[in-house]
Amino acid sequence: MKSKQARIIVGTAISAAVIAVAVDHTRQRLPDPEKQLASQQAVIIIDEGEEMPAENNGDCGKPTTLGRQASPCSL
Amino acid sequence: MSAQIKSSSKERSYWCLKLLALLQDMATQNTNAVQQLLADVDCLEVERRYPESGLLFAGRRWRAYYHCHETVFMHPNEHGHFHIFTDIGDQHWAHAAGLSIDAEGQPLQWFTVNRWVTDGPWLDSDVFLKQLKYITENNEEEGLVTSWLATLLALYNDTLFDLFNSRDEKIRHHSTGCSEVVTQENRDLYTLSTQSVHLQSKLEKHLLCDQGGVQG
Repeated sequence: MKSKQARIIVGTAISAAVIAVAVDHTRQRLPDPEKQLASQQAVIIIDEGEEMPAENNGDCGKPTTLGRQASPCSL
Repeated sequence: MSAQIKSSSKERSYWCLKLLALLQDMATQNTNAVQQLLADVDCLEVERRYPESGLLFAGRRWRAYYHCHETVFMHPNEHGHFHIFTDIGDQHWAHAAGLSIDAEGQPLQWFTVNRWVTDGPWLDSDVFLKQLKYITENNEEEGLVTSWLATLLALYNDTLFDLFNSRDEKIRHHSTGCSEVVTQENRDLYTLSTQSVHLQSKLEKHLLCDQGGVQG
């Protein structure tokens, strides 16, 4: 990494344009995320009379006091 | 808080130059850190971690993954975010910070979240600062993405220090009448602090000002 860094930086006068070009060329459109594939969704079998589990889709975008038992962003 | 990291001008210049070199490397490949990370992913799924086992870097003391949520919440322009953890001993990974990324792969902001969001041990700011010291100029990262993450952590260490101060202040503010441990489990408290990121301005500020200082 260090040799590559030196190779790129040395001999290049660092200007606002050099920085802008480097940043601009890393602006690349990311793929749109899709909802979890149906084939990979877990199947939960509920026995007759058993209580339905609380919905937990891992969405931590809506702060709410309800349905917040899991840790949606754990390792 | 008993400690604070203050980067020298020389250190800042080093990390700025390293970041610029990484960006130039990505630019020549028409990519960015997230696109690089997702290069082999056919279908990006919400809530899934990329990579599943996380990226290890800085002597395996830091670990990160990227994911997207179904609902944007950290920032209105967010595509997804990195969650960055650090090993505080005995394989206990504590969440340090998140890094929001826009739809073009550019960092938007650092953020911290409440303990219950990421689970694991609570990371004290002193420990966080100590862990940052493992990110050194001698780390030989294997890939662009881990190098980029390590460089951002090093370059933004003072910003992250402020981020942690704001996080702790918010926890204290919500802990009147209860312990901070209870507040860390409060499901009404999700994001605790944010700090915006603008790479181009950061590089211009340090690299161009430093050049000007030398010439002047």
